[in-house]
Amino acid sequence: MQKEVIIVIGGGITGLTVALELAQLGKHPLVVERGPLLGGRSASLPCKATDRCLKCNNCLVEDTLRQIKYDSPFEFMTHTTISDIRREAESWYVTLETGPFFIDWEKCTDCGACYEACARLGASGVVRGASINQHPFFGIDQKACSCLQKGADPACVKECPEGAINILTRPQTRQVKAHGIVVATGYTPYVPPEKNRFGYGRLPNVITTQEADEMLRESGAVTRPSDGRVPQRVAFVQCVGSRDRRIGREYCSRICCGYSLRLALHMIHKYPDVDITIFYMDIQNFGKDFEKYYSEVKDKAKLVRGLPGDFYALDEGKISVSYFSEEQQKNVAQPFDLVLLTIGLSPQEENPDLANMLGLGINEDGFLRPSQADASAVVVAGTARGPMDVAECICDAKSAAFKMANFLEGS
Amino acid sequence: MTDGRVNRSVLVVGNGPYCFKVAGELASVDSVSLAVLREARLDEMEQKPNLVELLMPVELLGFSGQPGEFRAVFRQTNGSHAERTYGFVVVALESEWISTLNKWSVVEDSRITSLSKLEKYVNEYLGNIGPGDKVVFISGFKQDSYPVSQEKIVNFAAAVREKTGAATYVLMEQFKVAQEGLERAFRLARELGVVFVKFSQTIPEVRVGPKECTVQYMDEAMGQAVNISPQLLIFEDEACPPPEGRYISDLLGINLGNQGFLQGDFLFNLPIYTNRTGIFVVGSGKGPISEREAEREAEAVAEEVAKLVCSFDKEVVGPFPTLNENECIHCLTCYRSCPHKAISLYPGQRSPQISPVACRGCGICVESCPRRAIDFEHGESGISYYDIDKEIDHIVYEDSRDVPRIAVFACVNSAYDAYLLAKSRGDRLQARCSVLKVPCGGRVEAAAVIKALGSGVDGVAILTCHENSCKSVHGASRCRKRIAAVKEMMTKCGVKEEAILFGTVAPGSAPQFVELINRFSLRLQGGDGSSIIPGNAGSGGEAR
Ligand SMILES: Cc1cc2nc3c(=O)[nH]c(=O)nc-3n(C[C@H](O)[C@H](O)[C@H](O)COP(=O)(O)OP(=O)(O)OC[C@H]3O[C@@H](n4cnc5c(N)ncnc54)[C@H](O)[C@@H]3O)c2cc1C
Ligand code: SF4
Ligand code: SF4
Repeated sequence: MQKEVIIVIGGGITGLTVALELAQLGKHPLVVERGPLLGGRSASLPCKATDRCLKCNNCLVEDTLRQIKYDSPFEFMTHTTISDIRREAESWYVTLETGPFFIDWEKCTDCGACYEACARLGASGVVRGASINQHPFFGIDQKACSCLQKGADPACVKECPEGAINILTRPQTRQVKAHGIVVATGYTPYVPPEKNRFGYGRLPNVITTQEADEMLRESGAVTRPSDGRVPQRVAFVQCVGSRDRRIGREYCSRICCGYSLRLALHMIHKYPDVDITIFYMDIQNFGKDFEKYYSEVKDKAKLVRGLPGDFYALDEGKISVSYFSEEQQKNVAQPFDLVLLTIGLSPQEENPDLANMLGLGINEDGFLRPSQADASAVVVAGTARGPMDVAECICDAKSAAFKMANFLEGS
Repeated sequence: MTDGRVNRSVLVVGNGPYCFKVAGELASVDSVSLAVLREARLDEMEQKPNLVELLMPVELLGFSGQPGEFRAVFRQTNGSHAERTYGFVVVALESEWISTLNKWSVVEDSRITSLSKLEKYVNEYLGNIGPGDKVVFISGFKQDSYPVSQEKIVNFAAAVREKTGAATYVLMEQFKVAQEGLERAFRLARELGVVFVKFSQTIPEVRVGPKECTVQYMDEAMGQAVNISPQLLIFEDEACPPPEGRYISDLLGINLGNQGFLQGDFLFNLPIYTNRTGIFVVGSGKGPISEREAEREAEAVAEEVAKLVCSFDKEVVGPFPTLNENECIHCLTCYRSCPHKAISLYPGQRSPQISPVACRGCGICVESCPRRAIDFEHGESGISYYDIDKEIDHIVYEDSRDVPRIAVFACVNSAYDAYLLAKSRGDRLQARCSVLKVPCGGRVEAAAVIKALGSGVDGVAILTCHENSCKSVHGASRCRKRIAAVKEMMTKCGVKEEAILFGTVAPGSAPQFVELINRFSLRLQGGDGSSIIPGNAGSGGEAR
């Protein structure tokens, strides 16, 4: 019998879980990831534990990646995009393009010679994973390659003892006949536009929670970008890029309350003297013991209802934040050392194209929706469908795998 | 699976319409029995072919066994008993919405009601409402609010406003908008003229007189007192755990969560797992969820069951403990200590049996057995603890200084990954570390720690997952207590206990691993470690 291949688009936690489950059901998934590494956004989430686990879900991601690294249960391709999809009778004919500059992970031993070679040149064309359970652990970010920009031969290619780094003139193509498609293309973190009232991009100590998370994962602490110091007074501004009709995002991103309150608790645990103020509209429920977390936050941080208006630079990198105080019934301004913008989840820009190509729908918020007509040959899962956290993505992936397996059995 | 019979059927336990849906999803996987603990509406289930049996209403009297051979005893209303064997169990109990009127000290009448009553008798309640009347909804204050119940409120409020023209108010603590479409629904209601008032400092007061009821509150944004006398006053209900939940969870040996909702609060449970392999829990019994989420869980559990069925056909791979019957003295310590209830007793069998399907290889039984009658079969994922000197191989150190030697027992689910990550990043440890990979902190026995200490190292660190995220449930906390006991013993013997460290670290936290080790190293050199950046111990703490 011919193998019934299922293409899984996107190698984030959702796509990887779908593939893992399908493989365990005896099916043949092929994960297509356009980036250099597997794991998507979730692989670089930091642990936000205090003296106990706060259930940020990162350990779930590590657990999944570990299984994939050690068992290699399915086929995947990194640095790869879909350049064409045709539907003929019961099958999809998919053209995949890899590269042209990429690491062949089957040859790569994760030794890191390429990374060091690139770092020696002061460039960041070779990227490194955030989790040891990511294999490949290294990949190429072609846009950041300084050798290509200078017209030189990339140093990493020569340094790789396995000859695993390819630099071709054209992308490598491959044709695959697939019986089903799972779309797990994820989300984009919201980035405030160039002109914004938060001073983001202009004031160095106004950063997004995404940047704070990366810093925490990389260095073990959230510090001020301007001087690397531990901040004394920190403001969280909730719902940045969410619940705002004027910017076309009339939805709650669902998970940001959870992750930002956890981050606040983590910071307070680490630096008991830190003074945290959280500006919010409403706090959404998250997790089973939400009430416990919430009352702990109310206890240890200051919660201010209402989002602040203006952000001004003060000296020493401080930021003045002004807001309406319900207590005092007037506008007040307060200085902060660091401002964290709690950003939401935006739909991928390519969603309309994907929807077009695969006959999917788009919901009012811009996320993908299964098509009515041919629901089961194409399944959408994870944050491609709407905001959700990692645990929900995993559950959604399992349900997607179930639908796909049922479809294959029925066809 | 002592008798070699593997059963692939599924028992679904429920108390309402949702369990019929769940059974419907499962029917495409395998044969299903549905045990409904109360009389419930028969949905579209009747024509589902794979439903072998419907027991309704039924009482579950007894439960035992392992995945592939769970045994359940039922009593039906006619008093007859039945015993069945199942491969898997899915608990699909639903939570209940209970009126909060008594919390507000008001009694239900034609003007005052709960959200669920309004749902049931819409026409009766709204029949007399017209323009000029006032309708007030109250959400939260005395109980948690959820998107599912607020969705109902916003839809009712919009409909009341639109159809009756009455002035409609919603007094609430918070908008719970974390559900698709809800933000938009609130805006549309606002545009129709529904007034939403939010509170964070004060609580509205409700007074009921013979003629009228009044709601008095402080408008926090305006700083003004407000009085409304509504013709209809509706209170949001409180979500309560299924009444059958406690009994069923005791019987099945699955942990309960917050406030008696189903499913223990544990990271690796995801929305569908329990502490027992082969027993799942789905739906609102774990806390209110949307219909879409409930549907997703039903599909996910169907996939899990299909996967487990596949796994029965495969050979067991990976570390698996075996029990040497000649050494076993039947003390049943292992039976009691297994966090996954993978060890069973069977009549006629001399020793306890370990289920290969339910066992997750944590090695806690290995540690707990006083006779060392249990061990991992093929070398397993790490430690052989009588050979610590041989295991001391990886050495990362700061070569410029004479630094302490530390033996590190690192859990394969957390600290070991963090160590590997630190190594690959080229992080500098101010110690010569010999890192031993262990399947779980719970596996590290006191003797191994003492043995390691005696092998000539300056210190021993035992690094595990955080206690409440340990994959072996109580592995990390058992470990912490054990280490505390070892320290106490050492102090009594006059040996410095500072040479032992218990710490917790997540798998991706390389900087925290480095910080823990470097701080420990300083302590071993006589410093207190407080000069290590950044800040006090990033995560985890020390055994007291
Ligand atoms: C600041 C922040 C903090 C967060 N913190 C937490 C937290 O603490 N806990 C938690 O549970 N969740 C958290 N989340 C949410 C979490 O990141 C997501 O739930 C999760 O990463 C979603 O996984 P995914 O696989 O659906 O999508 P993604 O992680 O976005 O993965 C999608 C993958 O698909 C690839 N892809 C996209 N399009 C294509 C294409 N056309 N072809 C090929 N490949 C493609 C992408 O490169 C990517 O690798 C946080 C989110 C943010 C923004
Ligand atoms: S907070 Fe998250 S990452 Fe950290 S230990 Fe807990 S689950 Fe793991
Ligand atoms: S703990 Fe050891 S001796 Fe006791 S029953 Fe289990 S195997 Fe036998």
